[in-house]
Amino acid sequence: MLSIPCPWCGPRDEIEFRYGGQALVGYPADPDALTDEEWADFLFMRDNPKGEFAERWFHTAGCRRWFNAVRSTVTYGFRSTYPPFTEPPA
Amino acid sequence: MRRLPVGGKWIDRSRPLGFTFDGVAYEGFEGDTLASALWGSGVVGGFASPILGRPRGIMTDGPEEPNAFVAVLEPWVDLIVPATTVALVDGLVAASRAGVADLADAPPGRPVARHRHRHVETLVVGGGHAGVGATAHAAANGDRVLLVDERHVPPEEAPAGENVTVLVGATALGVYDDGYVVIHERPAARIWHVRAGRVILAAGALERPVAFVGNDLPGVVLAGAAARAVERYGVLPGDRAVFFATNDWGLAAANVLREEGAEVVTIDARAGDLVLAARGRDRVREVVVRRGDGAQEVLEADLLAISGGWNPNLTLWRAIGGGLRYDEERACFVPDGKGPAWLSTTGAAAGEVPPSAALWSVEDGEDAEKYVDLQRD
Repeated sequence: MLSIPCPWCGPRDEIEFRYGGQALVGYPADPDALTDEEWADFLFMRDNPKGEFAERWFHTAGCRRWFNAVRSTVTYGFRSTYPPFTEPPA
Repeated sequence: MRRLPVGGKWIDRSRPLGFTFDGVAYEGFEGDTLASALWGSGVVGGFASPILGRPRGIMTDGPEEPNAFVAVLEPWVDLIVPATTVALVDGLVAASRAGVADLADAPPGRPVARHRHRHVETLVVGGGHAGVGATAHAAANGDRVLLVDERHVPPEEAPAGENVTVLVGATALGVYDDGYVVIHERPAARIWHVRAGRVILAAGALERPVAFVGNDLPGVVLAGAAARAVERYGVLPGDRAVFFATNDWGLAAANVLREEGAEVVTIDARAGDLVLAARGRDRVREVVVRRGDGAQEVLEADLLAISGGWNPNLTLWRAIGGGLRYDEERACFVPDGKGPAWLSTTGAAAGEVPPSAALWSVEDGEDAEKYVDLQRD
């Protein structure tokens, strides 16, 4: 079981968290201007890199707050976790 | 197999314990395992292979035991466990099981699962010399340390202190991400969930047998188990012993029996000498030996102790993806150091085992008569 460092609570067991998918997927500025294909891309298409990946996590059984993380999809290891709307630590 | 009049650092001779095995009453001492008490009572065989029913005896002194499975019926119920891992208590009732448990013995009602959770800076798996050393070192640095050992006797010289917890009769079952370790404590049937900052594996090394004709007969044991029977339990496993070794630890074990007055012949595979076969109907009575110059002889013996080299006990290291490399000199796999940053190995588990000849099987004889997998015939 992973130990996930919540930016507010500190390290907690993986079972306390919910995965929130890829981070930093912005809502389109003008949704009406998008073609069906572009709208589907926004809704459904996500990156699937081998290596570091920016993700959102939710501390369901803890502070119940969202945060962002950079995690390796190869080792599962978290490089960093940080509050949303802030820059990831270097 | 008999109990010596003195000796045995793990047993307390002032506290005799009565127990029953397969309906026969025996006596052992506080500190014995069921296996050592059976040896001390002169029981050589007592077990059978699961399919062919070939006679089998206790071969090791730890959880690696392939033959001596028992059901514990009183005072607690365990459907099938190696006799080498059962701590003797007064009134113990056990029965042999040929590798297959009998569910009719299961106690009624639902088992109660008891769970404990712990956070420590350092978890040490294995209470041998290396594990105790690692525990002392970590405790001196101010770490909270949990030391687990699957034997029922507390580790010798284990450091005491507020921040050191020693758990005996406890097996680390699995190592998971970020230092999460699950431990099973017996006979309380307690499951420990430990999150450790650092996990040190000091689980020692397992001695290897060698495949030759008749290598499954009762009285064929691992050399280390024979020596430890004397040292820990004051039991002499044989009066006329043949030691067949590929390494120095195997030969050193022979000296332990020699000092107790046993007649011991050593066969060193590195000198070209080989044991070709063990013979006897229900137990070892003769050992066929071929010397390096080709001369064959038949030795009378009641014990054949084997040491085919040592394998570092790396099951937990591998389970979390630790890497291995083959060590030609020691004829075994040792950790290559490529594992999770929080995990390390030390002592025999890290590969500190003696150089050994790479002998897995003696060429002479039919393969069908050499037992490589004792649990499946």
